[in-house]
This record gives sequence, C-alpha cells and structure tokens, in this order.
Amino acid sequence: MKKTHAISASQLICLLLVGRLFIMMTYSPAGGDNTLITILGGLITNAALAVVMIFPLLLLKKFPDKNAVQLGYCAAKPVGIMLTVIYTAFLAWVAVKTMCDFSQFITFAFPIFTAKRVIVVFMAATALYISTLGIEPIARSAAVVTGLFVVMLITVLLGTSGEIDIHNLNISIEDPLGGIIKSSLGSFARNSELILACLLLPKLRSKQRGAVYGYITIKYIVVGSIAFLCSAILGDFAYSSPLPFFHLSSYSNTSVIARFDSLFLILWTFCAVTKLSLCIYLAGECIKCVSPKIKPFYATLPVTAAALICSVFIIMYYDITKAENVYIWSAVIIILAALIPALLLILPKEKRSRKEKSI
Amino acid sequence: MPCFPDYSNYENIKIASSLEKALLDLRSIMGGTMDLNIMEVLVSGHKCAVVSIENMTSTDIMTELLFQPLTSLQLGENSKPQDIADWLTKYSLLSSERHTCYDYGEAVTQLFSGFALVLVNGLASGYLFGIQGFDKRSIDEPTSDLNVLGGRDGFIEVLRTNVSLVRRRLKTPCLRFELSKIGTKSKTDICIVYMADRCSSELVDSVRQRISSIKLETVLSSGYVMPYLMKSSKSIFTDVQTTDRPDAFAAKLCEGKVGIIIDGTPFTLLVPTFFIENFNTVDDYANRPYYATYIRCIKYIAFILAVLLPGVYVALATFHSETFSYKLLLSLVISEESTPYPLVFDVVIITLMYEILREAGIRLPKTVGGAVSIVGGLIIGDAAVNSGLISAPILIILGLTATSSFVIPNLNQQTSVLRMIMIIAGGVAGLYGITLVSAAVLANACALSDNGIPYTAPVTPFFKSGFKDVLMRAGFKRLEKTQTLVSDFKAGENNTEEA
Repeated sequence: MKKTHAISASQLICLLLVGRLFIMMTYSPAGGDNTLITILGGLITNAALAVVMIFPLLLLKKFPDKNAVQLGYCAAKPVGIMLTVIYTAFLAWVAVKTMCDFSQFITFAFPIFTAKRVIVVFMAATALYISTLGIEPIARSAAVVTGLFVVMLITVLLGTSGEIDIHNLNISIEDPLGGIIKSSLGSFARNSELILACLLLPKLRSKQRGAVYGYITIKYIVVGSIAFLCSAILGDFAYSSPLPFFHLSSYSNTSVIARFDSLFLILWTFCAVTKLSLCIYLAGECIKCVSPKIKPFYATLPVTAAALICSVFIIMYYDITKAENVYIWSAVIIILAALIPALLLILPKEKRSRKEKSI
Repeated sequence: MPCFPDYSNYENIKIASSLEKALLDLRSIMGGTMDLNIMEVLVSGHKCAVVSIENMTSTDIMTELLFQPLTSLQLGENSKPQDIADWLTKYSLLSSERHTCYDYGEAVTQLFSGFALVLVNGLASGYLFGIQGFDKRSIDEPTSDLNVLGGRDGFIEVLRTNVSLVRRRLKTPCLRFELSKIGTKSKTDICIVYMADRCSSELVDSVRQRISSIKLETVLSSGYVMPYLMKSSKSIFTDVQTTDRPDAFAAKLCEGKVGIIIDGTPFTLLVPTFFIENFNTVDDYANRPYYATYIRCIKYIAFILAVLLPGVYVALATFHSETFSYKLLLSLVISEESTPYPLVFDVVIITLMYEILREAGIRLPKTVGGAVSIVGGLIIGDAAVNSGLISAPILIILGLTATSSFVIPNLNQQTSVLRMIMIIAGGVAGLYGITLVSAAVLANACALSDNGIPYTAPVTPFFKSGFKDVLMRAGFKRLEKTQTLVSDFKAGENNTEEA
C-alpha cells in the first residue's frame, strides 16, 4: 500500500530528537546525580526502552499501515473510542506540559517576559497553524531544527572551549545501585516521545526498526554528551542549577557576542513549537479516527483549545513540577507504548482485514 | 455604426459556400471593425476574396506570396472552384503555415493571429496562410536576472520567437513544444515545453490539466497563469519560477522541469521549482566553482539579513540587550537616547519609508527615479538623523537590509512582507516572537510541494546528490557524472536516497 503522507526514518529521528531536546533543555537533574550515574543510568534506560519498543514494532510488522487507535476501531468501536480518548488525553497533556514548561523557563531565564499567558497563546496559535499543514512539513522543519541545534551547540562549545575541566566531573558514588536505579527511572520517565513514535511508525516509509533503535542510540549519545559538557564546564553548579543546559549557554561568550542565552532561546522556542505541533497533529489524527471526514483544522482546534485553557489554568494556579511523578510517567509510557500494542497483537490479521473492509 | 445580426456563438457556424454570404458573416462577426481588410479578386474567372487583419500581416509577404500568384493563376475556362482549392492546398507552397478551415471560429482566431484567409465562391471552406507581419520588439538583453558572463539575448513578447530561442539551445528531438490556447476572449497562445527523456509524464500531464483548467476571459501575462500552476495558494513562497532568459530556461528543461511560454509576455514559467534556486544564477556556472560557492554563501547571508536584520535588531535592543558587548551597548544607548519614539516604531516607520521610495523608484520613469533616490537617501535620511527623529544605527541597519534585498530579486515580495512581520514580532515578543514567526514560515515553505517534489528539497528532505549544488557549486566534471533531475527529489517510498 502506498503511503501518501509519509516521512523518512531520519525525519522520524529528528522529530523525536527535537522533542527530547526540549525535555532535556528544561530538565533540572536530581540533586544526587553525578556524571557517571547519569551515563550508567542512561544505558539501563535505553536497554529498557529498546525492550518496550519491541511491541509497537511487532504490531507494525503485523499491521503495517495502522496505528494503535486505528487498530482499536478495527477490533471494536468501543475499544477504538476508548483508545482515542486515552491517546488524545495523553497528547493533550504533553502539549500542556510543553507549554507550561516553556512559559516557566522563559520567565525564569528572561525576566523581561512577564506575560506567561500571552506567551502560551502565541505558541499555541503557531503550533495550531503548523499542525494543520500535515506531518511532512513538521518532519521537514524538525530536520532543520536538528541542524540548527548542531550549529548552536558548536557555537556554544566554541565559546566555552577554554572552560572544560575534567576535574569538574564528579565520579564518586556513595550508593551506586540506588543512584543508578533512581537515575534510570528518572531518565525513563522523560521518554514520553516514544509514545509519539508508536503513533508515527505507520507513517514511516521504510526502516521502522532502524529508526526506533537509531533514535534511542543517537538520543543517548546527545544526552550523554550534553550531561558530560554541563558537568565538565559547570562542575557542581550543574547539579544545583535549575536549568544546567541553559546556564551553559549563559556561561559561553565570544568577543562579538557577550552571552549566548538568546541563541538558546531561539532553539528552545523552535523545539517547543515543533513538539507542540507534533502533539496537536497526532491528537488531530486520533480525532480523525472518530470522524474521518473532519478537516485538519477542526480536528486539531479542540485539542489546542483544551490544552491552552488547561495550560493557562496551571500557569495561574499550580506548579507544573508537582505533576512530575516518575512512577506515574514510567507507567504511562509502559502502558501506551508497550501494553496496549501488546494487547492489540492478539487481534487476528484476518479479522482486522474483514472489519477494515466493513469500515 | 451598422447593425449586424447576433453572431455571439459564431465558433461552430460553418463557412457559407456563397462568397457574399461568407464575407457578410465575417463582417457581422467582427462587428464591422475597421481593421478587417477584405480584398475581392477574380481568380481564373472565379470570385475569391483575401481576408486579413490590418497590421497583423505583412503587406510585402502578402503581395509576394498571395496576390501575385493568385492574380497570375490560369486554370483554364472549364475550371471549377475546387480546382483553385486544390491548387492552393496541393500544388503550391505559398506559405510555411497552411490550414483549411470549415467554421468561422477557427477562421477568426487565425485571422487575429496574423493569418490571411482565402475564400472561394462556391466552397464552404477557407484557406489560411501564415504571413504574420505584426510589429514586435527585437531580441534584447533580459531585464531581470542580469549576468556578466552568460548570453545576452532574452525572451520577447512573441511566442514563436521564444520557441526558436529555446530550440537554438537544445537541438534534440526530445525537446517537445505543445501549443494550445487559453482565454475565452483573448485566445492567447500558450506553449508547454519539456524534454521527453528528462521529464516525467506524470508532471507533464499535471501541467496540461492545470492549464486546461484556466477559464479566464483574458490572459495577458504570465501572472494570469501562475496561480493555476501553483499547488498551494496559501503559501508565502511560490513553486513557479519565472525567467526571461532562454539559457536559464533551457538549463531548467534539462533538469526535467516543464516550461510554459505565453504569447504576449517575455516571462516564461517553470515548474516545479526549489527554494535554493532563488540563490543560483547563470553566472554561477560561468565562474570558477570556489568563487561561485563564495557568492552563493553571500546570497544566503543577504537573504537572512534582508528578512531578519531589522527585526533581530529591534528584538535584541528591546529585550535581549545582554547579547551585545559592553562597548556596543553603550554606543547604542547613546544613539537611541535622543530619539523620541520607541525603537520598534522608529524601525517600522523607516522601513515603510524605504518601501514607499522603492516602489516610487520602480514605477517612475528612469530619468526621475534617480531623483527619488536622492530625496530618499540623502535628504530624508540625513534630515531624520540630524533632527533626532531616528538614530543613526537604524539608518545603517536599513541601508544594509535594503542592499541585501537587492541581491535576491526573485524573493523580493517575500522579503518585503516578512521583514515587516519580523520587525513587529521582534518588537512585541523579542527573539521569541521572531522564532515563532520563523517556525511558521519554515513549516509553510516545507508544506509546499508540486507533484510530490518538495519546494525545500534537497535540503529538507535531504538528498545527497542534489545537496552538492546547494551551498557549493560543484564542478562540471562532477555534475556530468551524477546528473540529477527534479524527479529524483520526489519524496516517496521508492526514493531510497531521501534522508
């Protein structure tokens, strides 16, 4: 079957990497982390992620052109509706978290921006527009943003090259097992973009397995390298700072540019908008399963509006960091990325085809 | 004004066999227009008429090729009207273009295209001879996309001359020209051009369909056709390229594109096109590769400056002043301190002033255009800075922006509008606002594709073979080894090269 609106394996890697970069940039490490624990914890996390992703890949092998929500409708309409609600709610929550994290970051790093609500309104409007254009423009934009990230990372590195000190690396471990488990659990919970990958896999033209495992490997290298740089340049400050990656850019300077904060604001915004657009687009796709004839704008508009209202409410009355429970997030990842695909694997291929014809 | 019967649906009316009736019909159809020229003559004892449109045909050629042979024709006493028709169509070569028509529709259309119509009493048909002789501009240097080392001839308004300019450059049977007419009233000739061995039939069919969908009454320039060729009307950028250079047109045909030549305009169209092509010129391939690469880098920087520089300046000075080094910050503060208005307001006003002066410079006669530059550049600019209305750095920024925008004339419309949007975005929300707009513009450009060929290829999606000619200009030895066609950039399952 020819996939009309499809993306390549490298575009999927870029999409997921941009989403991961956004999380990484606004992530503040737990106080007990050190470089060695971060690297070892990351290894265990990636092994766990590789196991989790076996189920969506097996599902894709059995049903190459349908995602979990679409397969739910093939099984039974109530199952389909239930999966639509679950995945749409998850995507809307990721959108909410993205907007809240970003508004928190921008008002912390740039005190001149005081209107948090206006910031998220602008961002939601831009993401809504981009999401209506389809998956291909989002994926192509993500590739450009990835390139931009590489350029900016090099720029910042050049500005801080003289400050790298290996002695800053903290490799002493008091409770190795506890530290590694804590680090890997925290790291695992920050991989919600793998659920996005599960929904995107049927849109891939080829090399699905390569894309997933390629992403896990590249992500590990990028995250590990940045953690190493933050520790080597900032020292202990990296673990006490709320935004170590951002402070790395503040620390960087050249004779022409005094500080690189602004450059990182650009990258942060690009990553946030791309991730938000992807979430809204995928939520719109889930809604389209209920009503296939609905136009992209009308499918994405309710999700954007709901996420925006929720974000504004959270920004005004709550602290988003309180919602960051690693156990809950790890459970969500396992359920949405492994358990539901594993259950859908039970569906017989013949039954799906028959039901599909009836749809 | 004579009153004629209604001949509004004349297209399918058959030509009358009676010469008198046929000529009356023609006069009626054309409403007694003064430029209708009818010469009645007796040929071999039969009543005939030569019909033409004044100044659309060449009098010399008509006299030499039609009047002289017809008046001297002797077919004998027993000849029939059909003998004249046979002589005209079978035994003589009066013109290189010759048609027989049976209805007034074709007869009238060809008359207006510079043909002469021969009518013979007793025959329900007409004989058309191409003896065009209307005045036309001679082949001149192209007005846009000027170059130093390339050809000096440019397209003109006459379609057939333009066809010959392309044919002279591509002497291969693979080069195909498909002529048709568009415009229910203007009946404008339009020609689809492509290389049969380079261009996919799918793309040619798509262009044919899009052209046949044009239901306009008049088509007077390429701008009338462009919207029908564009795949997305909501895009900021256009996936249709225009050129008045035959060498550039021929080169693009060799890359597998489809060209469209429209009668009445020197600007031809090419589909599909890529964003990166706005930065390529014919001179790139005449210069040394290292120099062409250098110039291309300059053009990319110029585009970024033309769009972003004023907006980024406003954003940095208003929201992110920590970016500037201490000395630069001090001098900026001193300059801005004396101005009465907020920075964003100053920049918007001065940019608007620039756009007004630029538009005035384009529309005014060349002799007056220079005066506009003097008034704008020297008097207004100098006076505004001296009076303290605007700061000197703003003037430097605008000067640099304006100069940069001249480097990429093809993107002039986009840069003008985007520049203003970026200034407002930068003034409202700093770099955050500029990045949001940039993200939307990037996605907008990425969404543009023609027949599955993305506008942003070969950068995103990335194609290694095409990328060698993006930032750097590959040498001809390398280019000849890996000839890339536009169809190679088609994003899809079968394209293994896409990344």
